[in-house]
Amino acid sequence: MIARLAFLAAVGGFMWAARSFMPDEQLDPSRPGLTLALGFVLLAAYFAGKLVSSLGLPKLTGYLLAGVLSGPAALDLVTESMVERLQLVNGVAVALIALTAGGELDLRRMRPLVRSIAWITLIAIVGTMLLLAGALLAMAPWLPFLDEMSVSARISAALVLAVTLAAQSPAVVIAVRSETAAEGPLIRTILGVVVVADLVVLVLFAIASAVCRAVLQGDVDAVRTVGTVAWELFGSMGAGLLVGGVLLLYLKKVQSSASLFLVAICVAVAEVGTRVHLDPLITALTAGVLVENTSDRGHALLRDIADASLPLYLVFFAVAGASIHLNVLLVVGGPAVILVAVRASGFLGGSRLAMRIAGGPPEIGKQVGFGLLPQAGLAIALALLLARTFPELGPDAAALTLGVVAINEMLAPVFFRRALIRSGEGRADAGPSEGH
Amino acid sequence: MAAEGRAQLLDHSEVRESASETPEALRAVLEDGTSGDSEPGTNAETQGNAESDTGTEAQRDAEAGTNADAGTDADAGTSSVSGTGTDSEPGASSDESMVVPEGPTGDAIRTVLGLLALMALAFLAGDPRVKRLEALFGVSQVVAAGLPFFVLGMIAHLPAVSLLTDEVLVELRPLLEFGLGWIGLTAGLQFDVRAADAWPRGTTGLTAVLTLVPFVTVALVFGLMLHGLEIPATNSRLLRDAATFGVAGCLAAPTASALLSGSGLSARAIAVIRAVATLDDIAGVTLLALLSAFYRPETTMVTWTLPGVGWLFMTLGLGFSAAILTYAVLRAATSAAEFTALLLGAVALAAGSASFFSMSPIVICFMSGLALANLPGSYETQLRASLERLERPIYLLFLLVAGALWRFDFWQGWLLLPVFVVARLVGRTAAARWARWRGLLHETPGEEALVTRAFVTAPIGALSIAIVVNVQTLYPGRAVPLMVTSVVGGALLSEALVQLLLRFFRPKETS
Repeated sequence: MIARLAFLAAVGGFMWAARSFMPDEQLDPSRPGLTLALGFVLLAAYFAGKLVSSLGLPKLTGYLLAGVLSGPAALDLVTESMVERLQLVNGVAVALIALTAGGELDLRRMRPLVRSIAWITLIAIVGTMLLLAGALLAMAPWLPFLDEMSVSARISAALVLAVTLAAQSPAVVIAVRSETAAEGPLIRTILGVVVVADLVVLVLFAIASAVCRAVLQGDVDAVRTVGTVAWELFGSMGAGLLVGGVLLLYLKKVQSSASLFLVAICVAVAEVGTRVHLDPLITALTAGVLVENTSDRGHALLRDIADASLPLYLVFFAVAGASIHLNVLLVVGGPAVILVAVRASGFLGGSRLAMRIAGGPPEIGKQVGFGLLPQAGLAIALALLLARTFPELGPDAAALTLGVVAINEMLAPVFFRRALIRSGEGRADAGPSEGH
Repeated sequence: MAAEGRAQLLDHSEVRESASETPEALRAVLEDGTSGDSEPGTNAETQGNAESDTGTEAQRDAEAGTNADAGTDADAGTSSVSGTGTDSEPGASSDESMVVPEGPTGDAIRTVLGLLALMALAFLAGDPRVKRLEALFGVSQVVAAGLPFFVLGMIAHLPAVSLLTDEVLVELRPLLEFGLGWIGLTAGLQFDVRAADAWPRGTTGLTAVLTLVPFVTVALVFGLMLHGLEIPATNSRLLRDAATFGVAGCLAAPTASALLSGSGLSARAIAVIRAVATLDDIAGVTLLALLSAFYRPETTMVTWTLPGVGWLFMTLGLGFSAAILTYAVLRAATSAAEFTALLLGAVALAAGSASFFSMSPIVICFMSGLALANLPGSYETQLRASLERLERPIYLLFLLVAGALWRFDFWQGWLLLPVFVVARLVGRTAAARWARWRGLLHETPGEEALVTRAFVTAPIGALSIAIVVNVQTLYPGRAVPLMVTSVVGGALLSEALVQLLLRFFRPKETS
């Protein structure tokens, strides 16, 4: 523990010394010491992960903490412009994580869980969205951006916000699963739910924002909205099949340097996908599912991803941490805490109820909700999209959603990890080769 | 456009001075001219200087009383960009400035796909089957094997192809910095003091001769050539550019000895050649450290005013800190994946901090490599595995970016190419003969003639290319692009020469 602290201090001291020679105002915005920031983030996140791991917390909490502490909100070792430029890694990491999630989805083994997943999605996910919308409406007198609206506008805005707040994080699920080397029906159910919920959230967000735009701005094009959603969903799946085919070919024919090839593929999926409005997550997920379920190369894929993933995970979560605006919490702390509690109650209670209806094991029903709590990239992306699409809601709405995401981002992985270990599927002492 | 983006890639102080982050503002500022470089010892790299950096070379050259600009640039076909009337980067032809970028989305997609295709090529080049093929054709040297990537980078940057546009190159700058750091690290790793005990007696003296004589020869020839071509306008810049040519010319590939394994040389003689090739890397990196300390880029953002020796101590201090940090963090790894992540992080931190201070990433990471090679530790297997997996793709991607930065359209570069090869050959011949005459080849009795020939024909290594690319990022002046043409072309020519000589002499020697 002391050694890890010393390492962290050494890396931090090195960065601090470098940065002290060049204050923010002298930093070139087009060349903000990106290589330096990348190296620092990699090392700081690694040692912070090790440090919090020895305290019984998930390593990714350490990665996030490293980002929060070194980011613009705290020590400002990694500046706003550095964080912005490092976002490139995020897209690649999300694609790689989705590829992992897809590679984990063995449809034959998932078949017995389909009923549970469907009910959890319906009751816990959609139910929680409604619960959150209700909570937002109830809190409207304390939320000026809602209070000043007409009733119909208030309801539509609450719905969009609720969908945004209900988003989960497959990235965190994969990372914690990897760290605890969890295997069993609980983690498979959670994985299935977060993947399906991701699609549901994307579709519902598109629908809710179309409705909201119609109410707030009097501007809606139903055909265009349907077309956009269909393109994003089915286009992404089609692209995913193509990418999966390329991956299969590479894994069969070339094999060497597969981990580097995977990273290259993820760069393409993230960069090209975003620009043509395809969802990198769905694309990579579909590719992973294809490889896992149509060939015997799934294990090879996961092994190669494991080789390449650690540096990306470190940067991804540290950058996510550095993007957390702690000052936002000071402003919207109260309502954000209430929404976090409502969301958690919805997921935990909804999952239990859904499991009972589906006839699944009640002990899984008790724990599965914890896997739905974490939030990261998707929620942040939706929150930012929300702020961009609906300037009428003002910066307060974006601050509120980001505040909720920040709390869930920091706390939820801790509960999720404990749930996996308590269920017996995960191990607190999983070796370094098994987890991150 | 091309020149603007290149200037942006190479230096950005004008951008900072403009206090604006918009691309339009960047372009507007960059159109005014490019950066220059300072006299040794002046180090007046203050923020305020940035204003005068626009159009610097022309201005300063005029002040220096030389008449280098108009005539030279016109001759080189490097007319001013956009009619600004200022001295542009060489090669910034009007053709390039007329390239109109397409829509940002299509451009970006094309770029990503193009990069991917190139990356796929880099990965395939690492395939054992491809390596076997290279060996079959006798191009197993990293320079020759990497050359297609250098050329691909150059092609990808052509206006007609526009894959690696100037804007993309700006984004890829971290890759260049990281690649330079990686090459420095691998060069440092070659030098194991424990292995030095087994080196034949007198190796250090032999290396000194074989490094210094070619250095002086090449530097002298190029000093005269550059002076004749009136390229660097001031004496200090002339000295710096000539010295850079000298550094690039005095190094030999560490793999030179491998080429000779079937040439009839004894194991002892090959050990001598290998030791010299390893030691001359240290000499080259030391010279680079001196260059980057005593000739500070004027447009650097570090606001300190220090004498050259102060910057040298800064370089040593930063290199030492980075080396200790790298050594310490790598010892913390408990698995192969962790080791790779930490290695990438440590190299990025060291190379990034070097670039942050406008120092050489090669020098800083070289010191990390030295520490890893010589301090005790049980990470050797993991380090080798990580290097084996990452070295080639990183190096090839580095060459790709370096190729995109290459200004092949300067006729002076092509003119200097054969001069460089011949000057280097003359320098090495003189050094090897002198060493033989002085009895420095006493460890290889009976093989002096063969060893002399091996020293003379030793090809240019990857480090030489990395050094000129590094210098290009530090001093975006007019002579530096010429060096890239000369050194890269020279590397290829020298390797072809070695292959030819080996094929020609091998049957005779072995019989």
